[in-house]
Amino acid sequence: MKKTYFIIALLICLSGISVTAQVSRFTTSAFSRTSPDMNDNWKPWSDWLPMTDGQFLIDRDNMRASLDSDSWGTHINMQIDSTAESMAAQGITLFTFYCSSLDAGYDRKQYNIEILAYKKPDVSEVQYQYTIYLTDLYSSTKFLARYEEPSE
Amino acid sequence: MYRLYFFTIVLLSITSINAMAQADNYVSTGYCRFRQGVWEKEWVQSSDASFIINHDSGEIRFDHTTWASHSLKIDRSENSQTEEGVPLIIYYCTEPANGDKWELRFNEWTVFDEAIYYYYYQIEIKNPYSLMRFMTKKAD
Repeated sequence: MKKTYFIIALLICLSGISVTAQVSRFTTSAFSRTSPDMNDNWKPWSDWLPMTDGQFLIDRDNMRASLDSDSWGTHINMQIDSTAESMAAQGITLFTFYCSSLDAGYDRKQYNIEILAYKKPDVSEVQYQYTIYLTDLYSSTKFLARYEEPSE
Repeated sequence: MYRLYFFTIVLLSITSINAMAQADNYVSTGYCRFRQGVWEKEWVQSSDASFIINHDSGEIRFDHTTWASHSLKIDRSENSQTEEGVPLIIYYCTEPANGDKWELRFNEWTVFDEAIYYYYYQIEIKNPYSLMRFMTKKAD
């Protein structure tokens, strides 16, 4: 009987992890920008500034991604065309989403979303921080973000 | 002769240390305004403003590339903390030129990105005419 409970509990846990992993929400806390110079080399990143109302959504089930920020007036809806996962450095995982715009008037504009997941060195608990890069042909913006745990 | 050199070097060191300790210079990296009762969430990149906080003379100087400069006398300062629990210093000041009262709230804003900490300082200014926040970093 105990074994059955254990297996049921394990299955619930596993299904929960699977479900939560499919739709990921992130809230931004800061941003920095860059763009190519006259020689097509990327300029140095700008200084960080606060940005607290940005919301990234990555929906692997429906292969959709979006960025919304009322303060910037930014609402980008994207289709995820393909994904990749790798290690950017020791202890830093890199998730890449190759996307194209779904918004009218953007003519399938291409975006790359790269998400770096890493732990802050001086925090004792296992707490990940995320740097999210949103890059198109003419600019790249990186955001510091925290993962929003699904409510239910 | 060596003793003279020694004393000269010591004196120069002491005076340069004092000179460094006298004032902290900050240059803005961006700003955000308080409008219609709320803080705008959008921060605008700008390096137009600078602050010199001189604890020894008890003065703060605020310069801007397009606005008038202001020299403020620190009347008193108070230690507090932000809503997030970050230590905050509040400077209550008077502008001797016109008697205007200013309040400057100063707190550190730290950013960790991948492997590096970046240190910024938020300076909120409140005077009879405006209320706004500047993000700054220490000038070289």
